Amino acid sequence: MNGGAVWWVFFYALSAFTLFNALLVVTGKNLFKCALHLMLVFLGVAGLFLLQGAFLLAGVQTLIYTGGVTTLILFAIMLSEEVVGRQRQLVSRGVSIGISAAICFLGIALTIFGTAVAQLPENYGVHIAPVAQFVAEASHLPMGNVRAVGVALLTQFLVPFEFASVLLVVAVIGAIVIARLAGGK
Amino acid sequence: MHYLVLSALLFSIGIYGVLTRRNAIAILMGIELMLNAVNLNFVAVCASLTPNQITGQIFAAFVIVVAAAEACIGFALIIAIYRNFAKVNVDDINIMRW
Repeated sequence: MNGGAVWWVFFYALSAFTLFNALLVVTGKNLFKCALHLMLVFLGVAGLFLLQGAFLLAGVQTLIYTGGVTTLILFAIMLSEEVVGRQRQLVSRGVSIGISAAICFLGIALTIFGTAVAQLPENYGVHIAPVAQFVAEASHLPMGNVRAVGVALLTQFLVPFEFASVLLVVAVIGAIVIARLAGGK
Repeated sequence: MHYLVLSALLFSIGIYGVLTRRNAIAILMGIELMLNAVNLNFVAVCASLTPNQITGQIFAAFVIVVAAAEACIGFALIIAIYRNFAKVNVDDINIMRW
């Protein structure tokens, strides 16, 4: 059960890291620093994927979110704000409304979990035992998970997979058109 | 259960960010936080209830794809708005307000 203890240590450390940086993202004064904290949130979520044994997803998360989306955000900030030396007014748009909405959602979600967990099967959470072994002996991580995801994407989920690629092409072309032609230039 | 609570907390933080920020970029950052929380839920629930299947991971991958497209379009719109109005505060952009 030593591996399980290691798993929980990793879980709580990553959770605290992620939530702390997420709070900094929504409360920070400097938009640029907020984006960098958002990058750390993405990395923390990637680590949490890893703890669940979702190795491919952790890699995708790191590449697309930490690498791609964060860069996109930074470029958007640099193109739309005078970053250096100026700090725009960011907060105070109905803070009380925001807090109450967040607390309402949290209460609803936790109530649902409280009633739903009672109906879960007895072996809920047992799956972490093999994952704990992976984390403990990281020398031979299994690659079967990545293979399984790839096979499922190209067989069972082939049609949505192709639609996703079409969606990405449309989004990229649309973004170029919107960003270039706006303003009549 | 722990993953569900963590995901709910992350989602709540995202809601708070979306509702309190005035800068459109910061609002989109809050939306990204919420999408990440949903992905965590997909993976964790799938791994707990059906440990032998990977449907949750597939769904999370598709959510990542759609989120990337959404971020792409969103930031392009923000840049277009900035070119037209020279600002990206959502309080100031109210020409479509009824």
